Amino acid sequence: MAEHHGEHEHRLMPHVWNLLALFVLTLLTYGVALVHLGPLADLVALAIAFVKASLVILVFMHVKEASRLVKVTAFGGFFWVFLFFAYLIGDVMTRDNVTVYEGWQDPPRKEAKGPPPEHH
Amino acid sequence: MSSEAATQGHPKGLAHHFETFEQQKESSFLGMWLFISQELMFFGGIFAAYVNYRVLYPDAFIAGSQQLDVGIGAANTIVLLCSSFTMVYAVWVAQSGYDGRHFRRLPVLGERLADNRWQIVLGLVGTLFFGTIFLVVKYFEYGSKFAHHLVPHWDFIPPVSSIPEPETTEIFFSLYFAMTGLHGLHMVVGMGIMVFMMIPMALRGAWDTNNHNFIEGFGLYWHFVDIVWIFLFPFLYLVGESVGKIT
Repeated sequence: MAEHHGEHEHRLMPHVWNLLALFVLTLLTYGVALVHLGPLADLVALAIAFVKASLVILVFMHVKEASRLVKVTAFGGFFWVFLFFAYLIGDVMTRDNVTVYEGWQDPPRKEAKGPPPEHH
Repeated sequence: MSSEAATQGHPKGLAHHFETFEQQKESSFLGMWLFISQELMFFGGIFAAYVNYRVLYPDAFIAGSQQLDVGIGAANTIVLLCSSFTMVYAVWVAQSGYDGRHFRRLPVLGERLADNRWQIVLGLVGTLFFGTIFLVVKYFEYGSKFAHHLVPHWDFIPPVSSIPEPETTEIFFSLYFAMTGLHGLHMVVGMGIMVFMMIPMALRGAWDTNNHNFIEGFGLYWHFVDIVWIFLFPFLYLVGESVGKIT
């Protein structure tokens, strides 16, 4: 349809291919899940979700053809989420790894009495 | 606004504070992407809650996820992708000014659909159609959770007994309802905007090839909601498939 139209900037067919690619990836992630990959399953499912989201962002949301300012803004939003999750996972997954050295003692707590001492 | 602008020799569809259509479009997209960035922070918070509890109670999340039907989740993903395509079709019609001439030969509504405005409406109605299917499927899914006593704080019986703390599966279902509920709410809002604002705007010819920023900006919103589901599907439905059935 789009080829007959003459306007080369706005073509429909890339969106049709994009839809088909997204269908294939959905079936792929469903198929991979049925294989019982164990710990790898999460990574594979996330990787496929990233590819699918990228296809939607670049093609359906026209970021591929957008100006640099819009590209940076779009990327910035998703990059913020990436940083957020990197630090969050880094925190919750390593809480048991903190080593308390032998001989360490908690410093004695100061009793809170009256106004704080003045320094000279 | 447009009649006032027309008297000043300003082109139709170009707001008076913009110099060119390019500038107007750029400003519109930048604003929409900033809105989507704050939506990312909004959804980011609830996804963070998910990640946190998933790390703390991995068995409960696998057991909870196994109560969901992966086939239904995958089917709904396909349905939502179709709605994204019909949305992008409506935007493409507005961008390209496509007159729907390939539809003229249709025995039903052929003459009607051979028109730029009605082609936009066709795309929007298609999006509403797939969106409705998605929500109806979700309604039956929620119904089955109610039937199986899997509704947190209301009627919850842990579906498994062999994991260390079976009652923690309630956290998974709290997140399931909160995340899919928030996603569904975004769809309902989007469908309301389509029915009450965009179809009337399309019919009165509010957009042309120069200015269609409203429909294109709405398209960004709809695709963003699709992206949220693209991540919800593996997070909620596929977790339980990585290992054998927990009883």
